Amino acid sequence: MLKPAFWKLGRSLKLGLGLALLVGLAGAGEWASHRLPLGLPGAILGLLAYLALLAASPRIHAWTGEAAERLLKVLGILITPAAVGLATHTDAMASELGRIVIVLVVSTLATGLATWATFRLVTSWRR
Amino acid sequence: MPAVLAIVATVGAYLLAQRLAALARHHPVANPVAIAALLVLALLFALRLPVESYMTSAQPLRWLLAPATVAFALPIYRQRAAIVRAGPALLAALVVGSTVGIVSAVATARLLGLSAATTKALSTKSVTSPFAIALMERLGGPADLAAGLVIVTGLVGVALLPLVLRRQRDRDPDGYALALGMAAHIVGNQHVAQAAPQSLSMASLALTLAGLFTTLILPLLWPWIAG
Repeated sequence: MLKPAFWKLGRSLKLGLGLALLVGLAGAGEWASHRLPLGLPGAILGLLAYLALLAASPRIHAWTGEAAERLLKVLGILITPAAVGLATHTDAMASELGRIVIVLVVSTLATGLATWATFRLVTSWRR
Repeated sequence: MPAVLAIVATVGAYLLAQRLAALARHHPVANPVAIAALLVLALLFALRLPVESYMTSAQPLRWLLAPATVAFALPIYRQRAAIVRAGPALLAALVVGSTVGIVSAVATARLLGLSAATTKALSTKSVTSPFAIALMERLGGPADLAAGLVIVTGLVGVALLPLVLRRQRDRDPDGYALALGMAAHIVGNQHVAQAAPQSLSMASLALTLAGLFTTLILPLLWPWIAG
């Protein structure tokens, strides 16, 4: 009876610690972002710091992996308000809509084809 | 609008959107975020509530977006063996793809005379939404517009690229997956999961590494983009 209770407690502790680390790194990244002349977003600096921690010790992965996984799973919910916010730009976008579609089509095709062609070219060079 | 109502409405709309996407057999065009946003907008319209009030009330969800972006280090770390295996070809493809993604969007937007705000938002169209929002908030561009355009870009990508690269799906599934992951990010990943599941890790790497690379080079190009 005690074992599952301890296991649950340990898991909750890991989740809490993992989440605290991610929030802490995001906050530290934000702090550093405004003090470094790099123009990099705080969350990205936090990502790079978390990557360095993961590479430095397998324990970090064991202790924080589940919290990171869970946050990534709810990412869609976190992005939804921004997608709703697009509605606040509809008036400004109305006159540009056709041109925006042209940009998206041209640039998306160029990006996809350039990625594929470069991958193929470098792969064939290395063979 | 109370914050609790905004959060409950967002979570409820997203869960319903996931059910609807499942009913559509996870067709890439049935994007859960786009469906959830439409459901929230319909609710706001029915309750005669302004979108701006919802945006303010849903702010706690935006605060969690930064730690969630930090969490993207996890898939990069877990796929380190795949990154080493694909090596120079993967890195070259991502560097070229990211650069072409930014330059082609901004140059075409300039050519067509789009406004400065729209041009800024289009510069991040090839990265996944959390990265685009983080970039816009840091560099001073319209974050909501950028996030919305990212989703539309994903839909455009899965509508067009599978047609243009249809022969490569079987011949070169890794290259196909990279192109979809790079140009159409999460929506592209959903497509690859169905069309070329053996290369899903490549699409997923494109999503995370291209987002990271773009965030590193975009601040350098920002004077040109904002100019």
